[in-house]
Amino acid sequence: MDGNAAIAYGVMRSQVQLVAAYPITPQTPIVETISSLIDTGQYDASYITVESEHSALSALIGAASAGVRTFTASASHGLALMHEVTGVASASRLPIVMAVVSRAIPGPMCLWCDHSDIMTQRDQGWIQLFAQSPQEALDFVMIAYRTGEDPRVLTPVMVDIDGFFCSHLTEPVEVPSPEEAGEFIGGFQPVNACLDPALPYAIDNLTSPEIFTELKRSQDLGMRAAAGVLDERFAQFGQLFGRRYGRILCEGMEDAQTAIVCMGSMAGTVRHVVRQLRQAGQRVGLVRVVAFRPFPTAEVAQALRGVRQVAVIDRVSAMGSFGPLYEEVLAAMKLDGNQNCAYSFVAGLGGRDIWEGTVEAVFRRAQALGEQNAPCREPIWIDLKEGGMGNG
Amino acid sequence: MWEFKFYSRGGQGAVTAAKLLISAAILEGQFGQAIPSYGQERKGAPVFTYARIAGQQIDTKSYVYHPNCVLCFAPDLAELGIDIGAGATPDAILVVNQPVPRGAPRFARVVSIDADRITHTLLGEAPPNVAMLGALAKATGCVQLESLLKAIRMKIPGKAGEQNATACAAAYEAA
Repeated sequence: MDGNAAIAYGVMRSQVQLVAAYPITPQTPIVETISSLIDTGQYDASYITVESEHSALSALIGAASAGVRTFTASASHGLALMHEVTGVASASRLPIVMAVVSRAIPGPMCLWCDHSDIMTQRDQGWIQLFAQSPQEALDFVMIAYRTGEDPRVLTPVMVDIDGFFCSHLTEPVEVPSPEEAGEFIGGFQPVNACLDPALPYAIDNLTSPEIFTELKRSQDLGMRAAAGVLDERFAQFGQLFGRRYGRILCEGMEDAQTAIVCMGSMAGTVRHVVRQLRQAGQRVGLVRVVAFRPFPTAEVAQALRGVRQVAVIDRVSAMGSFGPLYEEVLAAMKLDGNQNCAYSFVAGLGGRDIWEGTVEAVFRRAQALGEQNAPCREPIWIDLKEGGMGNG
Repeated sequence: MWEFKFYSRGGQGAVTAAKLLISAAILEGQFGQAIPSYGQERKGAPVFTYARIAGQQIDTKSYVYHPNCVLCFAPDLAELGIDIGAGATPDAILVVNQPVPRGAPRFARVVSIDADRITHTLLGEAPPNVAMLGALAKATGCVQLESLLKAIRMKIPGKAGEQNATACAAAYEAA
């Protein structure tokens, strides 16, 4: 099955009770699959048809406040329209799970993959997990519920899959039986289920300066606690299903001189290239960030100790500055006293394929710059075509 | 590892064909991966679809740039300036819906099949995708015909599935 179907089956196996979503390319098959599973009686849940993404998440906030396990999915424009309420969901400490099928934020108008949509949500207080494959898409949805609902965390979770490169990529996917999944997913114990007609109660009311800071710090602590809870859940998932995950996943880092840091579907291609380069005698490794929020600062720093040069690939341009992943990695290295060279690469915007050639070019450029101890003054647009640019 | 690139036009069922092909591979215990490249969907527009089949997990998540097998549903794509030989490996096999287009000699082996005629005879007005798959299985041996037929029956239940399986098997015999 493809990544979209895998998300839908992950939702069903997580025993989600309510789904509200508005279709948008490339997320639409998630909505279609879930509604079809419900319609054909394979999945016992409620599906609310809504008129917009803003309404979809608002409906979930209401339902989650009444103690219901909820799911939605969006992408690009849809996520942008939802932006106003993503902060409400996290501030209300409601463990909603949303699949983000990454597609470029316009403009120009674009159907295809990059991370400019989910990065608008970077600081909205949601845990963010980046899946690489359809199998991971299914697995991460289950892990998302068990993490976000933990009383130490109580934070909503975005599971990001790359539009088309994962959402429409078909691979073998192991779907756990309802019993197997049930052993991991367990029963849902809602914490902030305050909506009760017998006890009128205002949620997310006007909050004064007297308490606002404390509520934000509480959210921050919940997000930070998610790091340890994610570790627990990844370990438990690995024991039950044999698939081992972590907040970062490394390849060849034991003796790497050059490290490539990235997220999402490109990590699979980078892994493939790293293995080929290592067979050819190159000391190169991969540090794949799975959890972008909470950011695994200490883990990334430790993985990059002793590396001569680091190449960070962002699938988004922070125009006028550096990519969000690069800034996190650079901060992690700096805080760890690591003064080695780190280079910022921009690639794969608006659906441009990050293929083996792109990754090899990143490796060669980072290696060449690192050998000269060259500073990183601005991001390197590694897959830029000659011509085609201009302001008029 | 088999790396495929499918050249087709919107409406010819190439995306479904790629999924059926890798379903057949998965049924055999192989690892398969299908990646369509979507555009602004229009019937008749050129569509490129990619697939891989290997004995073990495939890490790469990108398109195929050096196919060792090309499946061409629409030979007239050459008239649009599309080079179906682009990037193909020296030992690549071309499976082509007749007539054989220009550029075909660059392939190590060319297998042509009248997938449209087989489809029209057995299925009527239907896309030639399952017939193309039958020829592909014969030309490459990347999957067994039986696995393809099973994958087709799983995807299309009932009488329509049987008819599609018949068209696939007929193309396998004819290729």
